[in-house]
Amino acid sequence: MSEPILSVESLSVSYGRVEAVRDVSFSVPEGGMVALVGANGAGKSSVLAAVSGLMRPGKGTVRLDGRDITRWPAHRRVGAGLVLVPEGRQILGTLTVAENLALGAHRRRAQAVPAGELYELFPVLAERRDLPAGALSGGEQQMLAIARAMISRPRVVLMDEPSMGLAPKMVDEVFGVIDKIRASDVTVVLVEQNARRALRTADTGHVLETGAIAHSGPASELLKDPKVVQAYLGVE
Amino acid sequence: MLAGYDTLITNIALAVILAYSFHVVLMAGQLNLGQAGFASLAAYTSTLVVPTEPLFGSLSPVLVGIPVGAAVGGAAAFLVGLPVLRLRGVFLAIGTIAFGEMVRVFMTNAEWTRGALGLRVDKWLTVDLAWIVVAVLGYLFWRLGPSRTGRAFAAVREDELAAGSMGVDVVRTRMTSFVASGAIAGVYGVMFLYFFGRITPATFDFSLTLGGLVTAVLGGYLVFFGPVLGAGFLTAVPEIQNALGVEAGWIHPLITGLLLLAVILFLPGGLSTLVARLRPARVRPDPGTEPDGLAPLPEPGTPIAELRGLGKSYGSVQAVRSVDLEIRAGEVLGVIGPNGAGKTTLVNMISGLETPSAGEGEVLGVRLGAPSHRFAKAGLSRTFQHSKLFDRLSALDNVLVGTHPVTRSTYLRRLLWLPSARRDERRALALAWAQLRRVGLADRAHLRPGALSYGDQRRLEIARALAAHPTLLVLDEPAAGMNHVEAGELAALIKDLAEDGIAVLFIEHNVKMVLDTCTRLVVLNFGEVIAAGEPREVAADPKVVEAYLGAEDEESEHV
Amino acid sequence: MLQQLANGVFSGSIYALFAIGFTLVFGILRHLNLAHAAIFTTGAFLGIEIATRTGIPFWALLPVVAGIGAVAGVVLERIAFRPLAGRDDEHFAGLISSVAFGGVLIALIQARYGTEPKSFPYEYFPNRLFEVAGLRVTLTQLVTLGLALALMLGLAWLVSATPLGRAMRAVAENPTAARVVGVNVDRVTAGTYALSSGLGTVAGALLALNIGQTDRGLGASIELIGFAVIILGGLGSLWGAMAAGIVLGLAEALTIHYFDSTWKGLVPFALLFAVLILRPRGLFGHIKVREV
Repeated sequence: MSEPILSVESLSVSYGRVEAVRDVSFSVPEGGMVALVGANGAGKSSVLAAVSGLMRPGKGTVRLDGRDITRWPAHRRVGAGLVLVPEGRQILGTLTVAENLALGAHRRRAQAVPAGELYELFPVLAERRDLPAGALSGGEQQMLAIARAMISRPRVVLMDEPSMGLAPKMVDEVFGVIDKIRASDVTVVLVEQNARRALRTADTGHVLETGAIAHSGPASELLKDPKVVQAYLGVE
Repeated sequence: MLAGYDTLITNIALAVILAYSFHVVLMAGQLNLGQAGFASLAAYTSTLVVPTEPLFGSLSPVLVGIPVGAAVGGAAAFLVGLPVLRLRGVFLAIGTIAFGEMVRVFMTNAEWTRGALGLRVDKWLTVDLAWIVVAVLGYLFWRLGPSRTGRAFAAVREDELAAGSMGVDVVRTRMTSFVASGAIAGVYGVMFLYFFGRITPATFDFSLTLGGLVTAVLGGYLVFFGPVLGAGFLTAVPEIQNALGVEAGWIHPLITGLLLLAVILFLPGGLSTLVARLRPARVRPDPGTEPDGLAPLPEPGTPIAELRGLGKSYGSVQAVRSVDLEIRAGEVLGVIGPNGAGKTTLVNMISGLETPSAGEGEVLGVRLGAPSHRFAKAGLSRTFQHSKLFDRLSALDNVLVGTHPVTRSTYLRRLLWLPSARRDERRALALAWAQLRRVGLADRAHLRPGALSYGDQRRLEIARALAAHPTLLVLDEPAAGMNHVEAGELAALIKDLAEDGIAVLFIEHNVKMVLDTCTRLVVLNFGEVIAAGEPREVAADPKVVEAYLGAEDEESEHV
Repeated sequence: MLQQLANGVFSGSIYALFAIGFTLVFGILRHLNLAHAAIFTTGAFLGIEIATRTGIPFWALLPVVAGIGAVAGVVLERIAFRPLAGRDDEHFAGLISSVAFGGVLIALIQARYGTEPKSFPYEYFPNRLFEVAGLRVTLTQLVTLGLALALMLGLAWLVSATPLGRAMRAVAENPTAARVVGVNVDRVTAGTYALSSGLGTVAGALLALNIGQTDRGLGASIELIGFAVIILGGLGSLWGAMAAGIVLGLAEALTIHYFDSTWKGLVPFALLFAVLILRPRGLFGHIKVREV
């Protein structure tokens, strides 16, 4: 296997005195896809917050291409091609769709995907490019959040609960886009509550329980492992 | 010995009084900056009422002026407060500043005030009288601190939402602090007038307001003697400067500015935190008595809440739709569902924090849509998903605020040292200590929430809710972030509470814990109830499994 | 009458210029910067000192003043606001720390310039009088009005159409989302203060030029009117602040015409009070009122 493009070593994240993530390690090879699954409050989003630079980890190291980026501010990581699609989408509702995309391209203008090309991939956004992003439906906003990350031609995309709160049909569409991203050799770290869906798409899976990795393995095996269901529902 | 310093000492007293008029609103977290207006109204009005000759031949006529000033200032604050207290934060600040300026312009243009020329009166205020007023104010604030009213002020300052949920009438508390502020500012205005013998409308301007605010903040508004410290300190700066023979006029404002900057950046509680650091924090000990006089809980099985077709939408988003639910005394009702399923919105409606947009319901005899303190008074207590503890109060004081719905106001009786007030405070204290023991925090009663571990903070929130002797306890994700051991202890505590007859409604993501604890389970998804009934049956329902894990397909056989 | 209305427009444009810097910081960062008045006063004294010492022409003076103002703004943010970020009492503490910073600035002004008013050099700016359609206006007034309008339009363009402006609006709406897309929030914050204070110092220098002199109280005299302007316009709304500045100037002019000049002071506050109670988002504002 090739050198990992992204590796996380013994990461711990705390909110005040609450340790949300304890000693989490994993890595992703270039072009690979890792799914972090687990119940609400297991610490999945905190892992992504630390990897993307939104939070300072208490302990541990984050490496991109072997370089230690643990202390880098978020905007510098975006510049290096490590981009987050945040939980709850976090689109800028008062800005237009086009402005949201322009912001996404801002740090990596040289590499940026031309808007026209991007709109082919996300036709629904093309029609609404001059509308304020807040006027979009939930599913469209999620598409915008993904497009805003993809426009900078990232090397690693971190996705935090992209299917949250979406109707089943929209969930299918979102995962369709994730498949396309994978096909273009972009590395993906996916955090999902919809564990089955996530594990069907990923190569490797890690199950988080109360802030620590409880099980790891090839995604296809985890999918069949009853311990995963147990981690979610506590039923045997 | 003090002869020759009369002016200086009286000036300090006046600065203290002005600072107290800010202190009382800052205590309750309100940014009233209209003091100049209240002081001006009171001072000008007093010239119409205060006699020009000593009373009974010897008493200072200011003795008439002070109550008049308090009454005029308080009444003006009440009238201004009615519209203005709908505002908060900077909007409240700017609105009250505008009021102060309107008074100034009005006084400049009125006939009877002789406009910008101002009024002259005889200087009836003596240094003794000024300090007597300071002593009275100090006494009032000293007795206020550890009273039920003082705790309500602190609770509103720290977190209005949580204060309302603990049964504190937030609107009334804010108005009380506002009127008190106006009354003290009124007293200040009158005393200023009869000390200097002359006022003009420009006497009471924005810089006077800023000065008072600076004094109050510099001294610190968390302890009753803050204004004295602030005023003493600020008056001392130019005196020391004079003594050192430094003449330049700009040194004083420079030092004041730098000092204020240093205090706000490095000593957020003001100078009084330095004094407080010298004394170890004292917690009032457990009186060791059983809290008496608590109403019995309803018989298990009695319906205590009923919701019919309840719905809530935010714009086009339907957070909750047509939920029917009945809650009975003594049951443990678990509510689970994926993120964004509408669980928190549902309990917010039940506890009065949000108004339903469809359907209706009644909880403990209170119709949904009423303000949260009404539900608290009726016997509903709750905790919050993101803990809303009062950060600058000790653990014990947090729990004491929780006793609000089952205690009586003690402040006025405390002023008179009535034994009944002492009895009531001891009862509240006994109630609070009992809850701390119940959740296992008795040894950490003196700590602030920030010094507690996360699990302890969640338990403290439960103790605070229990202090209200609730019929229905609502817990929003109490085990979030807890480890297995802590979650297990929490489950045991919830079962204990149910044994005692308290109905518990709780939202939780730790499904194992929910299954171990609750007697009935409700599952929400997309704002709707998708399953309800016996916990284990519900959890095995394929619809529920799908909502949590996603749809199953041929690749995976299990579950 | 018409003459008075014209005067109202002139003073209104100064109010607006003072207020847009004020409202810019609030709109984007939710800071109520009470040191803005002191920055304004600083601009007036700086303008006079530089004009007196170097004799550089007016058109070169303003950029110099604005540059120094921008640096002062960055320092102000570093000292009085950034250390408070994330604290529970952040907003309240910001009010106090900016009052303190403003106090320090005024004390330093006193140390350097003393307590006496200072004036621009004699005939620094040509004192010409025009008669347009029966209205008498001075060159200073015309230049002030023109510059104020140009600066305000320039700021509006910057915020709505440049990458920096887009980043500023992103930070205004949601700082976390802005960081996610790679906006350097610290730099945008510093930039906002630089712009705000640059505009504030220019406004101060322009007002001093109009009245010919300045003293330490210049900023304080306009600060409260500035509050009225930003509330009337809708806190955080640039267009609102511009419109409200002019409206206030006109309203004052009308009051003087129909009542008495001493009642003029009541106008901004009565309007402010009414708007706060009846329509807290302001006459022209669209943004949601945030509780700070």
